Amino acid sequence: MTALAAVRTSAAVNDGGLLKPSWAEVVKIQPEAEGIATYWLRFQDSNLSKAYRFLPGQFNMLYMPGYGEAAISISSDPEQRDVIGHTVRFVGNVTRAINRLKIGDVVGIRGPFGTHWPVENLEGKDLIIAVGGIGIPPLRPAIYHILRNRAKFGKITLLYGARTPSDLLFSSELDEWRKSDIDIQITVDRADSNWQGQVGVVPTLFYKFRLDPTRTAVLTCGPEIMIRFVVFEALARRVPTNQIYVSMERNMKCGQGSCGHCQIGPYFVCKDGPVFPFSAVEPYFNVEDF
Amino acid sequence: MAELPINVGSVVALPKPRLDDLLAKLREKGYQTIGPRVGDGTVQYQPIRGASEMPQGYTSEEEAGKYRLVSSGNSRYFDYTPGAQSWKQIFFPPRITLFDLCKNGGWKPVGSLEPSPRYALVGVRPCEIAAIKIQDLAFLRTDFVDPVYQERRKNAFILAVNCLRPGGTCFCASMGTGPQLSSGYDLGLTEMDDVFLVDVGSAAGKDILSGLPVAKPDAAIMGKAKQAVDAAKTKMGRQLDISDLPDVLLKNLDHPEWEAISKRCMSCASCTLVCPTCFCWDTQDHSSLNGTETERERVWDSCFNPGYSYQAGGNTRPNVRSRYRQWLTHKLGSWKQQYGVLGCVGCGRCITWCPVKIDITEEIPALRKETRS
Amino acid sequence: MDFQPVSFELIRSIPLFADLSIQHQKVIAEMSSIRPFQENEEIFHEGDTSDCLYLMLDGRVALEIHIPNRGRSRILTVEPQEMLGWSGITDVVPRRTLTARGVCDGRLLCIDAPKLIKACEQDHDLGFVVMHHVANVIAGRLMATRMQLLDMFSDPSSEARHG
Ligand SMILES: Cc1cc2nc3c(=O)[nH]c(=O)nc-3n(C[C@H](O)[C@H](O)[C@H](O)COP(=O)(O)OP(=O)(O)OC[C@H]3O[C@@H](n4cnc5c(N)ncnc54)[C@H](O)[C@@H]3O)c2cc1C
Ligand code: SF4
Ligand code: SF4
Repeated sequence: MTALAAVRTSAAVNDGGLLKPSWAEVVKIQPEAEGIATYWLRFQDSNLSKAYRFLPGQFNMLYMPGYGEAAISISSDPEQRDVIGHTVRFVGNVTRAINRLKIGDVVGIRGPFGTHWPVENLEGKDLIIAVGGIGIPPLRPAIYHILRNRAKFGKITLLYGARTPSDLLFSSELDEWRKSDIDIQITVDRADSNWQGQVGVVPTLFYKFRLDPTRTAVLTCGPEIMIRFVVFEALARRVPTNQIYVSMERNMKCGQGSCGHCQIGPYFVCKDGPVFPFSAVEPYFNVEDF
Repeated sequence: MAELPINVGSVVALPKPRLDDLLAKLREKGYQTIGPRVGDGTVQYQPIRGASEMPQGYTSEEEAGKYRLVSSGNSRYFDYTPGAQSWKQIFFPPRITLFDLCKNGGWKPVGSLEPSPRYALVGVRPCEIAAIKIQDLAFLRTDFVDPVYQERRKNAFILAVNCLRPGGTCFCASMGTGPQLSSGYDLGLTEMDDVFLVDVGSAAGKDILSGLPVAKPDAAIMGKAKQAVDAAKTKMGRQLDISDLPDVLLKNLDHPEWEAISKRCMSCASCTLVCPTCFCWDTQDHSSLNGTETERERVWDSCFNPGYSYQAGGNTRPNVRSRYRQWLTHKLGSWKQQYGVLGCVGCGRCITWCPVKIDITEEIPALRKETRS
Repeated sequence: MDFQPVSFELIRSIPLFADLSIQHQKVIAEMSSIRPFQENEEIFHEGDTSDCLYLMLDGRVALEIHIPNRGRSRILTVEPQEMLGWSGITDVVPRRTLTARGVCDGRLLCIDAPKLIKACEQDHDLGFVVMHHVANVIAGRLMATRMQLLDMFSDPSSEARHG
């Protein structure tokens, strides 16, 4: 019983806060779009607040007592230490309870969990960040990292799609990003005639520029169906499968590969993902209902 | 008479009537003894105080969709094959409170995880030890330790027993997990007519034996025991060829058999509940009406439950085909990639307790047919 | 409307026509003109006869559909080097099904559709290249339309669910 022996003797046991979420206070609520807002949270324990670190693309389990937990990506700057941002779309039990939070209310947090966008390995590359809907928050920390280290990266293109112009998140920041030499292509699925931008779906944005497959990596997050078409376009342009990074979403209860819910084949999305090189998930990607 | 020297690895003989003394000794040492008991027409694992509560004189018959206790015509204790329950209910309880909270200027925890009693599990079969080892790999990892499981598991005493009478749905010999004990127990019994041969598996086991009236077994009884254990290998009710697992599953994710099985399977989740290795769980919050108190519980879940795979945007596995496929491809496939071992020990429970007689030892060969790879 | 003649050099510089022979590029130049447009200007209107195939030179054009009681809805935008109004050279869609409107000032290359069809009929080499490009455009549009139909960013909690 090797596992048990090792655990019996190890001093610090990592139970991931399963029995004891850490409490954080809502310090700011920023509405982003209809049904979506960013919650800025500060740990009540100031030591924890100082010690807490996360990597771009990781997520927390946010706990609303009486309702349960939901996996929510961290959408703030990894270098910003005192408060952490979570951009939440109100869709179900927990997220609707979050919607009722007011400044000063408390939320339980466990985390950070999961793999991250491998920005440190992508230096020198051209990056295409293809996101849609609620898929942009998990990439915002990566964008902040890139902005801070802009010279270390090649061409950066952000392809961003939303359902309608009013569903676009972080609009006020996009200009700031453009100034740092990020090419931003925005498209919406539908619009009225007040919209001056593009109309069409995210994957078709690939038609509008050229990429060099030998020096390009693609980072994508959004509805799985969108990811599928983004991957399709990237592969059609010969981007290698291990240079396409996808962030997957599955039902999850623990965040630590224990509850079983989030499996895709051999992977637990919560600990082996959510960010995967496409090459890892490729065998399972087009299997229906897997 | 000089006391018999006992060491880890020794085999000694305990007269049958002294089983009670062994149980009493465990209780005296502070263990709560959990063992086999007849209940609801099957064998259950319940607190027991003495051997008289055990299913002496019973044997069991099992087939796909069938379990029946019948008289064995002898006075053995362990001639039955385990029922629906398994030891996972001890280490990984079907329901357990993770914590209670009270709203009082923020949420404050009330109480903490209760220390677990020290359990002595009585009559653990070889396949069940294998299952415990498999759950250890899932719950006691280097990067994550399940606090509930660890608390209950770490001090447990395992009184194991060799299987001499495998059941109709057993195939542990195919899985390499039985019917003979190999490791992972504190004491290992082999039940003969008048004595138990007791194999000392650990220092804790040795401690328990001290002071009990054990004797050195003679060569004849040792020979008979070996014969009985060897013979058990040939009495398996089922077999499974595992040579091409996990590939035969993971390379056949679109096999027509998945559709065929979905016409039979009711997605009732019985197989996952009785399986001694299935570890999936869910959490539930229960609040007081005024919302000031809440209890967070952990409960068993199953990949057959519709809610298991709900997420914003729909259900990842919206039909029985995908749920059964998830179960089997995990159990006998991706489990190996995750933990280095397959997730099945060949105990046969999922076959016995499936209301529509689905038999994994038939499903694997069916998936092997017309294999497209 | 102010149409301007087109030089052979302009046609040569357009990537879409790069695989045409010089002779064919000249044929295209002869049947083409430049159609400047302004922000908000209607380039064609739902129901108009489709007598032109356009190629965007610069600017942005939106394809709109007017939905009674809901007003104009933009369903697609067309960017430089993309084709617009491909229905002009098909028989099955003799009239415009959408309205094209300038999102900003820009220019279109306007190819006379009846002349183009005639030239393609007479010279199948030219016909193949033109039809090949049009087929690509239609395939891309179809794929985009299917994706739009999925409404993938819709609010999940408002959808009917199965399982
Ligand atoms: C790694 C990761 C990162 C994520 N990051 C974010 C993020 O940054 N922001 C964000 O907003 N979301 C994020 N999510 C998604 C979020 O975790 C889910 O939307 C989560 O389900 C919300 O929890 P909930 O309790 O509010 O919804 P739930 O109550 O779980 O409901 C979710 C959906 O499932 C449906 N549903 C649930 N149970 C049933 C049932 N029994 N029958 C029928 N339908 C059912 C609901 O109608 C709803 O549409 C992330 C998910 C993952 C895995
Ligand atoms: S899959 Fe079936 S036979 Fe295998 S361990 Fe689980 S219940 Fe036993
Ligand atoms: S295989 Fe049998 S026991 Fe398992 S879910 Fe299907 S019907 Fe129930």
